[in-house]
Amino acid sequence: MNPLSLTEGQQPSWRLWGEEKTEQAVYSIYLKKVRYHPGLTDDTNPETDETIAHLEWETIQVRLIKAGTLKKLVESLATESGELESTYVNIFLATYRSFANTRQVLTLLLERYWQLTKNEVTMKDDIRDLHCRTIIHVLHVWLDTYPEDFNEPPEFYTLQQLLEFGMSVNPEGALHCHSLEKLKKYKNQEEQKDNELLNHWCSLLGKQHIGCESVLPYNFLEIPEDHFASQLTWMDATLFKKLISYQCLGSVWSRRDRDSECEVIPSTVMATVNQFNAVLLRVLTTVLRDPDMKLGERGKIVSKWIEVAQELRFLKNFSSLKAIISALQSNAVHRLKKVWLSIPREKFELFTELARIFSEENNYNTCRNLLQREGSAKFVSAVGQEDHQLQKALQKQMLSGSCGPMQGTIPYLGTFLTDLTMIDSAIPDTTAEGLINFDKHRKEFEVLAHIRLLQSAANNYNIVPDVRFFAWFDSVPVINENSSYELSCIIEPRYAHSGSEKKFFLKNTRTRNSPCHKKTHSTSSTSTSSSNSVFYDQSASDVSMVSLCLADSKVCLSCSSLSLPSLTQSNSPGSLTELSTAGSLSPKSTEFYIIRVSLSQPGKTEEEGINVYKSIMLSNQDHTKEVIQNAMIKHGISGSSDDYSLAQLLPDGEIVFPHSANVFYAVNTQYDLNFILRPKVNPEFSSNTLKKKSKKGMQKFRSFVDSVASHV
Amino acid sequence: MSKPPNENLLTYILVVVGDGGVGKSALTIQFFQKLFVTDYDPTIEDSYIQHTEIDGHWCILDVLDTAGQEEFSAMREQYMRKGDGFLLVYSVTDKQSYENIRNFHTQILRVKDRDTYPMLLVANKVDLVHLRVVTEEQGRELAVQLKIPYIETSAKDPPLNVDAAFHEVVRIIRNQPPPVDKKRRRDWWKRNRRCTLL
Repeated sequence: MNPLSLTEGQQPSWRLWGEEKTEQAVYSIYLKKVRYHPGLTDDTNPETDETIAHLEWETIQVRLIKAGTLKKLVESLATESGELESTYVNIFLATYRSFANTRQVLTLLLERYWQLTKNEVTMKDDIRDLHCRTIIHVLHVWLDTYPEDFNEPPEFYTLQQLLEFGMSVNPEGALHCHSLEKLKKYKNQEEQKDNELLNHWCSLLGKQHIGCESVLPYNFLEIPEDHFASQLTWMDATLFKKLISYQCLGSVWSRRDRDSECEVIPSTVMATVNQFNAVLLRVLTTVLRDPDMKLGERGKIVSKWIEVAQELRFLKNFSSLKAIISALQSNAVHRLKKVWLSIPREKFELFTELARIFSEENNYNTCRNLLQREGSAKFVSAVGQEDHQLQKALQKQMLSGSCGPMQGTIPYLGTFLTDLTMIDSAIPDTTAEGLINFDKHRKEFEVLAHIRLLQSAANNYNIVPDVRFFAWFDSVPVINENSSYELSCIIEPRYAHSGSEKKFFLKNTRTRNSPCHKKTHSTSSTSTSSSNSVFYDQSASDVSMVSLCLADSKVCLSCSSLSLPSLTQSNSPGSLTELSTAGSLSPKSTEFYIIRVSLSQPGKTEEEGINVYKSIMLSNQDHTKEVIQNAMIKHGISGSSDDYSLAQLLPDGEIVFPHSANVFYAVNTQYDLNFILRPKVNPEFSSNTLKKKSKKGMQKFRSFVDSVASHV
Repeated sequence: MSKPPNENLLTYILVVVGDGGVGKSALTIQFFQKLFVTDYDPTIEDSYIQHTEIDGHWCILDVLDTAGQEEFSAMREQYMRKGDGFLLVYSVTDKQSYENIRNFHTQILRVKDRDTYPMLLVANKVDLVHLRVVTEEQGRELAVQLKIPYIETSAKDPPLNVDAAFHEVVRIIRNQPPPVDKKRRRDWWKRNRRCTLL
């Protein structure tokens, strides 16, 4: 393949002619067929295409550096005649960090300039001038394209170096002003070190935590799919536009944890990966977190995610799309046979069609072609012929005219990262002669150029961020991978054929105190029984129920945001438990139980009134007031939490929690975590902390359990 | 070596798993390098497909290596679902990567919902003798515990056991008893996806 195919446009007129070797460099010589232009060039006018057919062609020789010493590579930024070699400059600036650092390159460039002006290089005066001007030009391009290279607080060594240089060349000159302006900008920024995006999400969180009322998070199922997808796209686009493409290079990314030789920390790549994972974990959590959820409800959640995924497809956001598809295909969700069978057939087909986009067949051919075709197109071009559901949806969207303004594209970055890792493994850094193998970087640039093209396309999104969405996003607790599998096994137990898990489930069923429910809805009742035993009988279970150390919403910030310290620690190479580590490292990580709260309704006896319980999460931070508030929300009651009391039902009575109690530590975990929420009738009801009831109470409790069971 | 027959050959999907930086991509590249005629292009369709003869039987090897995507969570499971056999790769210079092998092993068995599955433990980078921290004994011990075979490899020139590792996985796949219950359990999922597979 022609190494220039992408960088020089598709030009079949290039032909490799040979190689030229010097001591410090190896060049490829190409013969290029070009139109012969006598005098005036008018190649911008497409209409001349036919009329010029009779014109002569000529062949010119093009010399491209293939490998060389750093000094030679720097010199090659200008052609022999002193002109700016713009393609080469682009490739060099995009990839040089694999073989040199900013200081080295800058020093060489400046040295070259002084050598030229001091007549240490023999060449004609006009060419010499051109060379000098080209060096200044390169410095401008560099400052504009990769300003972060010069952002080295606190001393800003390279920027100072550049400033001095600009000063000595021409104190009034553009270069001096340019560098001065950058220096001012960076010095200002240094004061507010944190990334603005991180700040943004933090401030949202802050609002939500300080004054609960100010930002009320959405309820997941209530968020319209298109809004949902566009908000995810806003998040992804913000991060993708900030992505520094060279951080994806194999020499930076795939060697991220191997050695400290590499000076570049791929923080912008990490941020994208973290956002991908954050979306994925939100899918897992919403689908799995409540083991007591009814089958239909869980099916609705899965369907909802599929609908969001469809909207993401139309927004050409392949990053969050892939995150959702991956989550639904992850073992914990994929294995929930009953849930999948419960969702409408067309939703399932839609899911299959969307999943097909990311098929790994033929080296991800489908996804690659799609990106090529739609990458910089305005809209979704077309969907596959077999994609009936997507076709329908697309037609519907077109009819309603809601295609909207021009859209950008966000790719799934992983494919690029793998391609770059493979190039890095396949092509050596240096040639046999010990020269820097620049052809490798030309190859890498093909991928980087693609990324940068998409980055500029991402500017076409026009989405207004919605604070309530972020409040929802950050309010979702995060389950780690192990827990999600364990929760999944609670929801639908494994087949009894394999060893350890089987024992686990048997054991827990045996150790249960309360009667087994044998009802027609067998899934939910089995899940109920095992889930309970897991939560209250931790000591009896030899299986590590790490499970429910779900992190609270504060911790989930560390997963969704940029580079908090806990993140860098948790990103040990490919560790399966990395997410749980992130949780446990954080001092704010919480354990919790899932409790069931029934509502006592006035005017009815409790046996009649209690029929539906709601499962809520009880973390070690929750006091009675919060638990009551959560339970009220779940039961759809408005009013003040002060008007209700909360009690745990025990076989021989109940515990009424005082208002200031930390419920997590006060609950009796010896028994089922069944609670009752009662409107306060008289004030003394809540004044007692523990009320023992008589045998009557015990009977009452038994009938309660049965009534609950019959409604599962 | 005889020529590949024209009729439809059996395709084995081999998945390479392991921590980032253990040299997965180097193994894969080394296995395919002889096929790169002039220039390597990671984006073309058949970059990671190879026709080969193993023990007198021709087959197609389709290698899935997602090096560079280790941090994307839950991604592995999709690839694992597709795999017919696995190379569990660790680097003998990196203790952590050795310890993480158990996680990969567990994850594969969970995804496959089986007690055993064709896998090979690959101790990579054995050329770096002076940096080695995981001994051959430790490697073999782990292999015994996981009940899978063990091999030592190096992708540096001259390569050691690279072809052998990939071929060995095919042998393990061929030698396994035909899966009886695998089909039954997958049916529910496939029933719905009539048009996805050829």
